[in-house]
Amino acid sequence: MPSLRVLSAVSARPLRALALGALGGLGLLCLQACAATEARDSEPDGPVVGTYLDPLVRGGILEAPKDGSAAVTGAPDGSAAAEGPRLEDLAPGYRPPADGDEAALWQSADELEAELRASGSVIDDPELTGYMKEVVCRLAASHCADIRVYVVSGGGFTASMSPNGMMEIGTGALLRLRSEAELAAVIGHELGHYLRRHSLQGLRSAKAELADFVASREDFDTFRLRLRSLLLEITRFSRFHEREADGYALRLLAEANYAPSAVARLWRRMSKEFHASEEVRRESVFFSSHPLMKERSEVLSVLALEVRTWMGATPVVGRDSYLRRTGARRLDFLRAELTAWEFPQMRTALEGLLADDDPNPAELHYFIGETYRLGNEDEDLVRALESYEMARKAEGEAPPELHRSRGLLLRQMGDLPAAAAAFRQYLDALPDARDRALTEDLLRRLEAS
Amino acid sequence: MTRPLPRLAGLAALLILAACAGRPSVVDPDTAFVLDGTLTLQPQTAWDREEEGLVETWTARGRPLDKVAFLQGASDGDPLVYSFSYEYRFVQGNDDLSFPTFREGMTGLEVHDLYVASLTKIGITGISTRDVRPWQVDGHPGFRFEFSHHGDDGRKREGFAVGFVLDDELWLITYTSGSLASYEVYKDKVEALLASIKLR
Repeated sequence: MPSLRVLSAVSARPLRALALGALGGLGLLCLQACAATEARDSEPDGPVVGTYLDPLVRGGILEAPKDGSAAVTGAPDGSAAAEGPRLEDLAPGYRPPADGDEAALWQSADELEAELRASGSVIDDPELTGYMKEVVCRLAASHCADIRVYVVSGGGFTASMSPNGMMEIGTGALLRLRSEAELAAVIGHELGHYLRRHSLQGLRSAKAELADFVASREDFDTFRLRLRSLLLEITRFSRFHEREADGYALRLLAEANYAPSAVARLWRRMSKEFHASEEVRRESVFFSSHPLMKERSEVLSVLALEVRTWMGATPVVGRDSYLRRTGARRLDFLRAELTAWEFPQMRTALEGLLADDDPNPAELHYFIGETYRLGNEDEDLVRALESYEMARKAEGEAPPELHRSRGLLLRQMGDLPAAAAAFRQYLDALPDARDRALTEDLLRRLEAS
Repeated sequence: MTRPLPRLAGLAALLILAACAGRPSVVDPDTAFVLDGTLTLQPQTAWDREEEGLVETWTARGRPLDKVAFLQGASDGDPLVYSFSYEYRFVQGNDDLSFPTFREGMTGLEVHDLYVASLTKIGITGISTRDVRPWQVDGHPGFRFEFSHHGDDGRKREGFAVGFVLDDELWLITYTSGSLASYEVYKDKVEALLASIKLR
């Protein structure tokens, strides 16, 4: 299950995440697991750049370097899958032969798709999902009928693609995107995994490595070394897929006349957000560094410029269309993001939106305040109050819960009269609040004290 | 947000306790039952019970169908998810994860939010709550709310939670049913159970 999964520390459905990871040769977990081992080989040298470049060369958009420095053989150096011929891209309408490993992979994906539909985590919004599907079809018209898009509620920047055509886009990703071109970049990346059949490649590579590993009969120290080698091989293979999918995203963006710079811009922002969350997770080896993010933004920036020169017409950015067609759900995206309980990274994401001329800063200030209040560190409470005040004064409209949160915060800080006033405002603003009775009860206690 | 050592130590203690789960036994319906030396109740039904760490779980027909769970006094800094939702222990030990924690001085509104956040964080989907209101246990102020969410099997769960803070510790009792139809079957028995609670 190759995926674009950058910033969410825990899946909305952990067991499902594990299943998806296994299905895709650990692709789902790659961006986290790669980080600890990638420092030594992360420089964007010839073979690495070639992996990004390959889809663009095959698409006739860019030429391969004449010195052959960016030659790509179809799999990462030394991996088991490199020994076989390059797997053909997925053909439109393709179904795997019934008796092979690919059919088993698709069957597992079908089962996961059924589970996803029943999970309650899919956003039931035909307009929103329809918009995602429009972009899919614009990027890959011949595969349009084969792909089903699900917008899934959850925090963090997540998207994934299954071999059977199931595409999941997390609300956390939609929250962070600025334009239709950026949405196309995410979808293009996932389509890259799909069209290149990365799940199947990952499965075969992992099986080959595992068979070799199991067949070995060695002492304990050698066993440990081989285990480490196996894990490194799997992560290296996953990184290869991520780079190739990025190259595919650029190619599809160019062919559909979307601004190719969206890919690099998106990764620059994600890199910044990742480092914000890294501050808090520095004790974790998996999050100690993430050079892949830096590499991506650097390589894709250069390639995007070259791709732009190939494109004739002025490319589409689509900021207004993106805001218009996703804006009605933004509050839901923000609420889902908050439940991920990853406050520093959420703040970085929201501050980024504020810096980019967001149409509803009041809403963002409110949620920044929520990250501070729920974070509940000493200085956070003052920052939360400041954010709530900004939410009251800023352009746009914060949700009525702003007053409830202010009430809870002021009570916690000991300002009971102000807390009572805030709760009254909340009840006035939301007469049908589900917690009206308990809020009134609390209000009575505050007023009596 | 930081995760100071005391919190981790508390968590470790919870996990050790959790590892010492007792064998299932049957509650005598006619004998008063005492929880943690703090709370007495009249079972009135022959519940099967299991104790695991801070959590005591009772069921009449099997946990997928009905489950009454008693969280017996979560302290300041305790993550609700570890102490309450022990079905999701597989997330334990992942230090990259941060979980919502109980904080001394929380209001019922905040505990309600904490409960929803905790379930969401461990992957429960489709959570909705309603009728969040005051509730009293043996004259002591508390709160109550109804909830529903999706189960791992895709079926909808219905239930309600009551809670109160006693000596700065959170007590939470939830009734969860496997479906809307089965929800009604044991709801009255659980209500009777709750009505019988006496604080020591």
